[in-house]
Amino acid sequence: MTEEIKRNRTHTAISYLILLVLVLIFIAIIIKQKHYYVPTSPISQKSEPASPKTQFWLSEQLFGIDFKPANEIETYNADNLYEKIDGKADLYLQNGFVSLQCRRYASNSSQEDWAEVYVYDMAKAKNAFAVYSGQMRSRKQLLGWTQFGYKTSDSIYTAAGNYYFEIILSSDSNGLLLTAESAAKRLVDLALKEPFEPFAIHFFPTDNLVTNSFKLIRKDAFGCAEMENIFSAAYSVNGNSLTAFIADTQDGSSAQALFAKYHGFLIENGGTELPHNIDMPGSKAVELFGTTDILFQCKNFFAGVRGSAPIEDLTKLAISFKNSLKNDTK
Amino acid sequence: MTQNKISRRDFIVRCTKAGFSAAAAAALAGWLYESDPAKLSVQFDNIVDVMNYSTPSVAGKTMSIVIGPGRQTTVTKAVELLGGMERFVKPGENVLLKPNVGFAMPPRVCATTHPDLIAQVTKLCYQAGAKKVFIADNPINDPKSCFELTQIASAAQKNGAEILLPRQDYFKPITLKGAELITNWQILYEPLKKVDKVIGLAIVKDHKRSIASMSMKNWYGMLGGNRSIFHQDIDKIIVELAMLIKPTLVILDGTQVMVSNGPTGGSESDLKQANTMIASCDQVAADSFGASLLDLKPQDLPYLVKAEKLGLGTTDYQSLKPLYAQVTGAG
Repeated sequence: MTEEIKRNRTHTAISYLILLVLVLIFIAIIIKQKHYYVPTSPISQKSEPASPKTQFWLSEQLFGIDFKPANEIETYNADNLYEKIDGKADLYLQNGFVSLQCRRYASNSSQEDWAEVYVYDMAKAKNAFAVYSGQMRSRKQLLGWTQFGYKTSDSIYTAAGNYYFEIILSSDSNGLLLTAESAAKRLVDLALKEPFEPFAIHFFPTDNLVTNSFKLIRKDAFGCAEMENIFSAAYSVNGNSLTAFIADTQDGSSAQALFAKYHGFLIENGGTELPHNIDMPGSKAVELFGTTDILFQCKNFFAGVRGSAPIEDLTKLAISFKNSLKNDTK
Repeated sequence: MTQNKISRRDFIVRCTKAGFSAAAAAALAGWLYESDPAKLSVQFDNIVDVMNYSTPSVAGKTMSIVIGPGRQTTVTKAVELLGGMERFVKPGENVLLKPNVGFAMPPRVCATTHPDLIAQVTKLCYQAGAKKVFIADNPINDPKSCFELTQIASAAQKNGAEILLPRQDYFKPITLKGAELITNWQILYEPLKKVDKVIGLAIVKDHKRSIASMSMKNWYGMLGGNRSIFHQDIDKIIVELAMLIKPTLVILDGTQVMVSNGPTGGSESDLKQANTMIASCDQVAADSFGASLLDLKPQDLPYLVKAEKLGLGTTDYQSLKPLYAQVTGAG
């Protein structure tokens, strides 16, 4: 009997102990939950590991022996690209963006001299060209050694193959720029499998053409939502800036439909149809807020010229452009 | 040797009790378990009205515009025209400077607030008798790199300001009365709680999403969480942030304006030398003038129009009779 009482007391003590442990666990859970940081913050997110290819491209030796990497390779995808470039992410996302890898290289002799390399994988050469051409700086010097590339006093931009590269420098030191240009050459050599020719470049007349001013506008060209995949080039005529453009349409009927949509857009927004006597049957000229558009269709293409310039200059360029399209046999 | 025997009845009773205990524990656990951590914060939610750091208005001294190439001289003059920093910061007060430190980029590309501006405003605050000057932002990129590479960290250190790098315990869920987006959302709250006065230090720049980033957009850096979801409703969140924080003063730096490829830019080729510094107690007015540096009108920026409708300020900055000056110092 005494032993049974003893045993029961032991059982009771164990039970209380278990209950005490449960209460402690309960309190711990409550305390833990009190300190939850609710949504994921950019400061807590980690980027993905770099791919082997990019690890090779953004190697420790990319900037030569006088520089070394200042950080690990950062990788961003379509979901977190904004964490690196914020509001500019849209431009890339609208153009087939796959991933961004970047890495900073610092000089061994001065920590204030550094360069950050951005490697954008755009999936297709056309996409890479679109983001390259869409951000073209006005004050620039073309890189003679590659098809699409330029430098400013403190940065280098180039499109090669499916990739778009940016190198941002911490200063405008000439030495730093030269080192960065060598790094850009290495990257272009690695990325460029075959030269890319945007489909429309050879259609544009060469007289008065502003060098390397070709652009591929993927969406909302000239403010019109229907104007997608528009190639454009800039011209300088008698001191005025003109733009010639051509749509990458599949056939004559889609070219005609786009013609009608863009013409309708101009008229709906207050544009005025201009009478003009030029030898371009089916063309239309519309003036809106001081900018004149001459629109036409040729073969399977919808094209036009636009600008704040005398109608004669616009007409001359439009005729030249149409002739170029007519005579093209490519 | 005694055998420990247990009757069948006792066995069944004990098993039943154990079963009930286990079931009760499981039920309690199930009742307490919350799979959505977002709901856990509700009990700590702070419903706030405006966080008001403004000072009493002084007729004719709401906004100043100073032309000159050097940030330190232009900002000093701009503040002086409004009555000096003594008007805004009283001896013994703690001040928060909220710059744009969004990106880990060099100051030369002007994607972030310039360190010269940070240095000079910190000096002015201390000269007015500030007890402590704090600097805070929740950058897009890694915060430590952002503060270091923009040289804001060194400017702060040299002038005695303390940088509050964003930490998880600095954020607090806030619900702003009348807001649609700032509802139970993480805000960089602790730095705001520490101080008596708040001064916004913004830059004028092109922004692919919001068209322009200036004083009002600068408060975006007070948001925590996955704030990219607000990109879909950028004008509304900018207006709500202006509803949430009524600053003591905003200083808008238009010395070099990023006119293309914003908000990151990347090159001096994206900049235009505009040599303009704006100081204003009305952030809507400051941004309305700032828009002109980007060849925009206030009407081109929906958030300015909305903010004016809500009485947060005026887009007709001329009605405030801004005080103009020109200074020549390059410092």
